Amino acid sequence: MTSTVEQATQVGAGHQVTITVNTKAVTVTGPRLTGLQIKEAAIAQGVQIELDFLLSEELPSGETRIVGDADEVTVNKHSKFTAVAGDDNS
Amino acid sequence: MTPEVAQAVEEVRAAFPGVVINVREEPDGGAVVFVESVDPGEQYQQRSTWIGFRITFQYPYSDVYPHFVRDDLARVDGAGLGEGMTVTTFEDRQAVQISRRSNKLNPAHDTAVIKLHKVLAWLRAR
Repeated sequence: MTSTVEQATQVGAGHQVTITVNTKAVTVTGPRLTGLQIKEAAIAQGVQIELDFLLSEELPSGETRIVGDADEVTVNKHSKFTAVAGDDNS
Repeated sequence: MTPEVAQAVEEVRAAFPGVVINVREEPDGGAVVFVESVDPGEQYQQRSTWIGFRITFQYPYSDVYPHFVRDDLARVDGAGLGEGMTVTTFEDRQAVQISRRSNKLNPAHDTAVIKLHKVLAWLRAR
């Protein structure tokens, strides 16, 4: 049986928060989500991205952090993400 | 520099705090950028390399491509660098060219700094 504390720290468990993905508002269940969950939520809410896009987070400092599918991030209403298609060798 | 290129350069500077970044403006409004110290990943003998690239005056409607790193980059396991990487020169520097093209370029979101992160992520994942 999962304890209350464990339940509270499960990824995806928590409250609704509206973040930004590719400048579009996306409502997710925070505060902690994986990169894949963020992309899934964005796609479900009409953002024109695909699951294999590369997700990055724009930090308040101006830095950019790559968020892998399994990486967990803490989100809030100020969280901004960008998802772009991958590249090809040429 | 065009305003778009200047903003891209500032975004690169913000993304790499404390790292020396050299920029050469081009007469047509583009810029050549060198981020002088990044970690290419533990699979390489060298844990620091410069990475350079050109942001053309057409940015953001043109890809930021290709990128270049130090010419002596070598894998710890002795294997070759593999596809997408070739020895050449860039701006008078001996270099390894990293040819990663954004064939699905979205000018609204494919910024120079995100492209740089994509290239570094690819380099570190090889």
